[in-house]
Amino acid sequence: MSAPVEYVPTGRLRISDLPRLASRHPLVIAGGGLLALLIILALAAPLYAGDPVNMDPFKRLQPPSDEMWLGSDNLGRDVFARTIFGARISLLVGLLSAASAAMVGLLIGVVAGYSRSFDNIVMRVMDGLMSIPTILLAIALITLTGPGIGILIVAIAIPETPAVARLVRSVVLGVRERPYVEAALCGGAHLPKVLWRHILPSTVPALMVQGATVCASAILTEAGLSFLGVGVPPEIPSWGNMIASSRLYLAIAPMTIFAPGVCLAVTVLAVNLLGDGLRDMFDPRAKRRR
Amino acid sequence: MNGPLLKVDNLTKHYPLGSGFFKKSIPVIRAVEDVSFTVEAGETLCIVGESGCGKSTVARLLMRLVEPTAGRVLIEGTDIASLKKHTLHAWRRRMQMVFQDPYSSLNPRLTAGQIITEPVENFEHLNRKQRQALAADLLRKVGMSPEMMHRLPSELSGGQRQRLGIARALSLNPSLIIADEAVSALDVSVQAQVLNLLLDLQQQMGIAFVFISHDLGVVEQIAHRVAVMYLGRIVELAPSEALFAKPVHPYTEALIAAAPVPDPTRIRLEAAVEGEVPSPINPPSGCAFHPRCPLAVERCRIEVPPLVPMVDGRVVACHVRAPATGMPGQVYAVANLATPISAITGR
Repeated sequence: MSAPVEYVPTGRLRISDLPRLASRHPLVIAGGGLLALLIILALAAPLYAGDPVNMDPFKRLQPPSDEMWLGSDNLGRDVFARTIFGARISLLVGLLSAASAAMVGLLIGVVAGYSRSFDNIVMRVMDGLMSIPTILLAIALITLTGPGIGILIVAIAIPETPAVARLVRSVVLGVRERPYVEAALCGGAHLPKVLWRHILPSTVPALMVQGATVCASAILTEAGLSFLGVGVPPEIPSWGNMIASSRLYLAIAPMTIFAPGVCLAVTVLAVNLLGDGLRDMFDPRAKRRR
Repeated sequence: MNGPLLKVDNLTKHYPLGSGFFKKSIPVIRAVEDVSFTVEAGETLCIVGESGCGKSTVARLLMRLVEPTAGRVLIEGTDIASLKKHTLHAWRRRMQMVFQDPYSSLNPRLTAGQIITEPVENFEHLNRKQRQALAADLLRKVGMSPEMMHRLPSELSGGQRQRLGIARALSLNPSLIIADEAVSALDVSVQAQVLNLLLDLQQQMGIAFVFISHDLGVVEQIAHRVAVMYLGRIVELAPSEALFAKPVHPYTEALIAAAPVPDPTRIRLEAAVEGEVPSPINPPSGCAFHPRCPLAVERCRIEVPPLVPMVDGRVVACHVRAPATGMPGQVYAVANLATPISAITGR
């Protein structure tokens, strides 16, 4: 799933090359397209979905109707609107956690990959972090600070960081011995410039692939934490919250639990497809089929 | 200018095998042992030897890509082996390196123009126009068309890539270029072109070269002086004509005899040197060459032969062929060539 990706470059990878590269990899198109669709739907939610927090005690646990397309939950709130607005939370937490884990992991990985003395200490700390269960760490952090999206993102990003750092470190260890890095040093380049110009670009493919994996797992972790009641505050609609509050009414109003559940599965699927596609795209040795 | 451009004094590099955190003594690889030589401005010194004899380590030590265990590297009298990193920066301009592999020594993500102007941009800011002018100028110097500056290395041939490597080295106007097997990865015809380019540049710009090679044909063509290395030590250092005409150290003799000569009329001397280069982790006692040397005597097993200066300007480290007179400071020996290797082995 997160095997180290060694990108063997045949030339420079430009942003403008990405669409052409992607067009040869259907997984990238499928995953990326689905994810983009979800993001647009979530962003445009106020345009077409109703109010996700408005409660109507007289319309509790209603079946789907013209007014409320997926019915209502136990407090009379519009399940469709809540599902759509819940996508915002999932995507926000997923993407931001992945981005922060990727940034911090990149920084730590590059430094550890380049500096022998730092490497030993930092990678042992990373090993330690890896052994902490994500859910437990998040519960501990949120108990300390109180629920909030910011702390949730931090709590999810911390345990994901070591995997990114390890991957980046392994790429940097491989690249730093390349003669062109030595040539840059001979040419009088300072270390920051060598890192920025000659080493960092090589880590980008691995980082993108790992980022997708982290994103998928962050979305699931967020849902799990919200389900447990330590995720986003209960007044904010999120898929985890919805599944948690609806599980008692599964028999009466199944839509209240199916809608967020299906959305969650589709989102994670989209991100995973994208990640697998990117891995195939960047790794020329990966076989397309089996 | 007083003194030589480059003076290397007792340069030594030992690589520890593993970290000695828990063990008291750790074995070391004696990659370079007590190497000394000088290079004058505008001169070509070639370093030859088998694989693993420490040639490339010498190059990396000169560029200070690795830190020496001991010894000094003096450029115009300044010891760059002991300079602090930030002072070293300024001295990078004086010497540049051309790498062996024209494929992996160029960043595949940068264009030719970016690659060859990068060293200059480490020292001064260039605007777009200056950068293009510099790139065009450098490309012309190495015989390439200025339009090539927008190409990626993957779009160029091996010879063109190596020209880029040379252009990159030239960009800082160095007085010394270290070429580590700079032509050995190229086809023979391309090799000749690149060698001619290097010779032209030397004549035009007065650049000195330290040229590291295992190819004696190439060395004979370009060297002013040749240093022969064996297992981390220089065993013979001589002017090129003298070395090829009359090798004194038995290893040099064997090396020259083993080199293919594209001349059917020239009689090949069959020199018998058998076996492998010993491990630099546990080098033989005394003269490192004695286990393979047909001339070896008892003294070779015990005592490391010193480099003895000889009348024709060469230095040789051999107890048999160049016995030291024992008078330090004025040891002049005449080569004892009475017993050629071929006579001993009966070939």
